[in-house]
Amino acid sequence: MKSGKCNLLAVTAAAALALSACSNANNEEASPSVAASQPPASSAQAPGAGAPQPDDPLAKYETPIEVTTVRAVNQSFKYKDGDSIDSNIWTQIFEEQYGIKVKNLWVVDESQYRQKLNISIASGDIPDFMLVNKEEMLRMNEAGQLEDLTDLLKQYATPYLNELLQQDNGVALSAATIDGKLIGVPQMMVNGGVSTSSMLYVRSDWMKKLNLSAPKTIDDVIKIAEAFAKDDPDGNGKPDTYGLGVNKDLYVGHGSLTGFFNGYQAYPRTWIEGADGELAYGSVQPEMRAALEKLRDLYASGGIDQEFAVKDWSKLSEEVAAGKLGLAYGYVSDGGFIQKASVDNNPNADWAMYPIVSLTGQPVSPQLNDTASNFYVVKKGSKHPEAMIKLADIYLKHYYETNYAPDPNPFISGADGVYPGKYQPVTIDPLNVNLDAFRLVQDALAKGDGSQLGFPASVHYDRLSKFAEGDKTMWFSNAVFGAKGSYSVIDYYDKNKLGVYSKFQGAATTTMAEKGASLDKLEAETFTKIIMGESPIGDFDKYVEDWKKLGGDDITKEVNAWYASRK
Amino acid sequence: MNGKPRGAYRVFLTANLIFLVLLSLLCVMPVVHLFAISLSSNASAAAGKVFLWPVDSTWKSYEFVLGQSAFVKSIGVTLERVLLGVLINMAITILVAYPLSKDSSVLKGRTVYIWIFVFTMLFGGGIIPLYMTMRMLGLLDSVWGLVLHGSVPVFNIVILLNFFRNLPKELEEAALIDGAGHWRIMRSIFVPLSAASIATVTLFSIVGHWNSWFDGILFMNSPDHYPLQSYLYTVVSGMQAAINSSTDLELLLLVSDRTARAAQLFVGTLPILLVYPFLQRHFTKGIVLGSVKE
Amino acid sequence: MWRFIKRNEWTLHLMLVPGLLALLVFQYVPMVGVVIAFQKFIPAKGLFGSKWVGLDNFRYMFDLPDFWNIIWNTFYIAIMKIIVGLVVPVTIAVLLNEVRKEAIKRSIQTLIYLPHFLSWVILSGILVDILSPNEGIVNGMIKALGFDPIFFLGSNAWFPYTLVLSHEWKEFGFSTIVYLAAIAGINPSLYEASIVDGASRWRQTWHVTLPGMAPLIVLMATLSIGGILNAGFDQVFNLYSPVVYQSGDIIDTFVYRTGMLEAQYGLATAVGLLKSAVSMLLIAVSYFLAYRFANYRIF
Repeated sequence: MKSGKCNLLAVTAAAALALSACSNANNEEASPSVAASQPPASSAQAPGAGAPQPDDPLAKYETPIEVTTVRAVNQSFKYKDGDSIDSNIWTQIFEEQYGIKVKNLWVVDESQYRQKLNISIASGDIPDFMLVNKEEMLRMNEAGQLEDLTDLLKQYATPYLNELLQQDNGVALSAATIDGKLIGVPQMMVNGGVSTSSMLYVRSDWMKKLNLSAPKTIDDVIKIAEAFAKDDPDGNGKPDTYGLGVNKDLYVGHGSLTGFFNGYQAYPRTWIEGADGELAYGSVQPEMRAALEKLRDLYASGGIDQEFAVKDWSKLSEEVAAGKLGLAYGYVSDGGFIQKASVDNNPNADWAMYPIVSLTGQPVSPQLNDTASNFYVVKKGSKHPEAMIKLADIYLKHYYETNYAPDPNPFISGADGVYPGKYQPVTIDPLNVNLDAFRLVQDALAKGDGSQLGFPASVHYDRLSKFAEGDKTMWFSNAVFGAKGSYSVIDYYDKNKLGVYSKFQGAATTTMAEKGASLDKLEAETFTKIIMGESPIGDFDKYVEDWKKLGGDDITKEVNAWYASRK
Repeated sequence: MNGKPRGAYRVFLTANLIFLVLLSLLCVMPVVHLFAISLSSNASAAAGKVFLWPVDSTWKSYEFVLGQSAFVKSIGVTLERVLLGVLINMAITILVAYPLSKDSSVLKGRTVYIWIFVFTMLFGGGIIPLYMTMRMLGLLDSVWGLVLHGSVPVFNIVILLNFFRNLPKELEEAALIDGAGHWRIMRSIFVPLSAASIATVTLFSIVGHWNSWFDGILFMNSPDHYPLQSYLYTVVSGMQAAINSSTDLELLLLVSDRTARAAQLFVGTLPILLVYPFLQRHFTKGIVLGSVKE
Repeated sequence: MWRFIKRNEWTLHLMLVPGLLALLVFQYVPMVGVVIAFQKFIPAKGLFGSKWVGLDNFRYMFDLPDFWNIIWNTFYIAIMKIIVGLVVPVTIAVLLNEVRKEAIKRSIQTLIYLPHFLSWVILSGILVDILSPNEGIVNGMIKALGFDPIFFLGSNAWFPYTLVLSHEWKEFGFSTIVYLAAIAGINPSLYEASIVDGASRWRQTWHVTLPGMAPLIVLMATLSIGGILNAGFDQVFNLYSPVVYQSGDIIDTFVYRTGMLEAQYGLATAVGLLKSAVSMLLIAVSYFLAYRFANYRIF
């Protein structure tokens, strides 16, 4: 680990191309887009080749234009010498090939983005285009601050962009359509759709040691949790291991409880259709109560870390690394990082991923995220409202549609961890790019020939081949894209058509925008306390009452009004 | 000299000393702990093996941290901010404290002035109106914004004006008879006589500027322009938000980098730890004379 | 001389100008923003174009189920901080005064107020680490003594006390200096007299030292009344998490969340306005009390 750190960084950084970004998804059915991993050859003209035709969405501006935006960055943004978020390979392409100068009014760490954005909006300091969430989009639209993009999108989207925006059958687009006007372009992300499902991560070497079998039902999970917590799976004679890993945010990252709840057919924080055909909120359904009761028992018996309520996701990853935690619900990319840390520290550590389980052992559907929770919006009165859409076109063209072989894709990170793909201000990605890559790679491995693979499957093929040859630094690739890797679970879900999207796809309703955050808080607080035994299970019913009273009833009405309008 | 047996008192003295020494260690321990973590290997830090002494000690995290340009830049911003901010704070503190230390008979409207100043300690318009004002003035994303919005440290002014009020009146009267003006009296009598108090409020001002983080995040338009504490805030808490929204492998790798975090925190603390002991001897006189009036 | 003073009075007014200007620009102008408390504020319409809603925001505030809880937390935490903040430094000052060796005394002083200079950003990074029930040093010691580990930052039963203790840990060294100075200011002849009377050290402390500090103690107590609604934004903001909102959410953190993250500008401003108004009343009371009982004018 000592000398290998730089290497490791480079390698994982490269993997980020496949795994970066938030997972958001919403198709009515997950329909893998074959085009995603083997994109159509670029049909746009070579840059600078003669005078652009008037109808070309990618035409260069004869007189260079300037548009403003705002950006969120994080510590993983690394730059080559002399580069910055304001000046890099993308800004060069924008300026030289398209005559667009993108100016960042401000750049902020992503943890501060909401706050800074809200102040900017409140004080009237609004850029030409920006990335906002549904609530902000709605608020800005209500205040008349947003440009109508309906015609602009028709005029300026390339075929590939249109295809990507339709990969969820236009659900996300319709979420951004208010009174027939399109006010935002959904930011679709890699690892969206079915790839946002929960799955179980288990230390298989511990299971073997304690003679436990693979989890088939919730009771199996409970049994494993209790055994991991009490039967000293690491064999050091000390009671220093945990059972089921749970983090304080309940529905986020490694240690999320979403998968557990789904096993009870409970779908927290989403809208499901009740027997009466009306939409109902998942968090307040009786199925949740049953699941919470089980968790409460597990906590009481020591099968859940007694202090989970203060541990965030990163804390859990430290515990995984330290070999203390070997069971948790997580998401598809966890295998690449978290489990690797434990393998670094302990070469015997071995992991297995399983689909989520139900009480009876019947297959059960995991809940999926909306395909987009963030939207690119354009300020009303912006001089070049089309620039945002053109930037999205440019991203797709240079990132996916151009074949750079035999040179490496210039936007993918190299050994130095610099990953220029991220600098692009407007990124709309294929949802299933990695699932498709997984399938292609598995096929190729079966045939023993990866030479026909395109980007990004080719990258994974190379890594898996290296791993097969004994290169341990490629462990993460095997954990994610290997035959038994986390994508095999996603593949299983997809092939069996498992996966539930929220039935509500409209923009956040008025009451949601106003009360949503406090209701979420109420929910998190109540559930945490119930699990910890600080409140009686009966508080769940009180929570349901409170939820209804404090705005939940109004929200339900608004949601159903939206639902009725869509029928 | 003492009526009671010396033996019992000596026992008390020893116990007392031990208690106080332990108490001081309790105050220093966290910083030492931080330092120990920053010097340990990542694996031992993550496994919670480090207490007050580094395990598998290495300078690697310092090499890493000092190679982070954002970190190094933020130190530069902080130094600039402290320098400018403290100068301006002190100039205004002295200029305001001097007239307000006079009686109402000398300075007409003193009570009104006092309330104008004190009122701002109690009442504020909130963050958003302040942001709008700063934007109108073109002070966003500039070190001047950080320096100016808090340029009137009312609390410090109150301390200093109380100190001024307690200076012997005779010197001032003698100078007045010699025909000296207020500027000269302030410069050659009040300021030199108040060295202790001025040193104290200067330290307050340094610490205030060094430690403030919220305004940096609010007013700066790029992480490159953050002062140190704002940068550290994004390192400490920013990670959580990143964790909540992202499955980015590179970022995840950084999250576990506890030793690097510790190294940054330690470097962020060090300068102030080096400065304050030197200003210490002034505190006693500087603060107290400002608060109790005989 | 009187004539001279009159003649030169304008100089004094002139000196105040830069400070007044800065206040006007950075404090008084933004205060216009409190009108948001009476509006349904819509940024695009601006401060004066938004709809006026009278006291709606206040009504909504009082109806919030969390509101009284937050007020209670604020009072509870602040009052505990005030009490502990008086007792601990006075005690330590008396004990420290007994240390004979000047160098040791000075060193201890230097060390105990070290935490005062650390920002809450840095301290929260440290505290989360050392207070962890499993790996933290503090719980390591508690466990070594045979007790169950305590969940300082994550349990509603402990969180307020953790706030009070960590705040005191950060600040007691600094206040101790103030009291030490008061002790140093006690007339030595009082001690001599009590020694002549045959008083023990203990009696000297009780009959000379503490009475000598009394005015300062009374003063500090009165002055702190004004701060009762300030339970410490920086500290709480850096240490709390949703689990402990119930016991740790205070007015300032609530205002921050509603205003900056949830964009409920009207509500946030209304709460802030109420807080300012009550604080002002309290400050006026403490000013009056300090004047009345400690014969002290704050300004």
